[in-house]
Amino acid sequence: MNTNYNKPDEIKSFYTSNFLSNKKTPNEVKHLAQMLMYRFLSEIEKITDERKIVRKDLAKQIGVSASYLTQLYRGVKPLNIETLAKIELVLDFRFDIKAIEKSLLEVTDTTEFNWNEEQINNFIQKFSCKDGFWIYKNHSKSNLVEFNKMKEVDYLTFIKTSNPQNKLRIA
Amino acid sequence: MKRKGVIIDKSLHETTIIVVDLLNAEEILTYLFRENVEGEFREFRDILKQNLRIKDKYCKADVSNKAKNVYEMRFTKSGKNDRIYCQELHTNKKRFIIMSELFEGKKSQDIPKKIKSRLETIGSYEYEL
Repeated sequence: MNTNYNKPDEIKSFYTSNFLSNKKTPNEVKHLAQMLMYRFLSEIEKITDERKIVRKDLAKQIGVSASYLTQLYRGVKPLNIETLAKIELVLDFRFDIKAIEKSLLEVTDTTEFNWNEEQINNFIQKFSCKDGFWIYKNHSKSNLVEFNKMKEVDYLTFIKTSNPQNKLRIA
Repeated sequence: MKRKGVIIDKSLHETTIIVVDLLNAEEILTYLFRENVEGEFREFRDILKQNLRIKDKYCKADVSNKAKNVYEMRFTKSGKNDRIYCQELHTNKKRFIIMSELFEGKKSQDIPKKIKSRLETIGSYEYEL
């Protein structure tokens, strides 16, 4: 395909329409699976780099070949859970797994939540009590927009009517 | 003379910014849009934007001090051994990855003098973003 452009706007437009469109491709699941593998592999690489463990030694310890590990890192072979467990065992660490709603990952990407120090202090002051302050986990972006607008009395009503499982106190 | 770069992608919190060299943009983006490369580039893009460390895919070219800011994207899934050489800059807590040049079909692990010299040239580029 000839893109045939040389102006920044055309380049951005070409990139956006071809690489950033929200279309779900048939390979979407495959891509997500690959990225999930890379997230595990990246953590392993950070640890082995920190401890100066070479790939050959790690491979030997978990009973696979170094080229198998290379294939994993190149995304040629899929990573299986048993291999992960072996790596956890020989390197003596645990993966700390958390599920985060996608909407929460996006929350600080909005101007509303690009808070300065004063806004953060106001938020803490508004929602603090003698033992600390309340925050909500598993809340949606729209909840956070509402938080920002709330007065203390509204917030207390909100607490009473919300799902208690979503309430988390930071002491 | 400063070279121009075009910002084409950013991570969620704009800590990682992907840029393409204006002069080589057509060649690089045409390559990235090839059927057997597009999927692998999507991986690179997410690896960089999520700040993952996968050195088999993206790592320092490490040829000399003159090219110490030069990194390479290693495209291997299409059965070839292609590279996009990038300059990496860090400023104001932001990481700029500038895709500077495409190199198709790297054949050996050694870095010939010609490539070394290209990498040092890429390392010397000053970008206007």
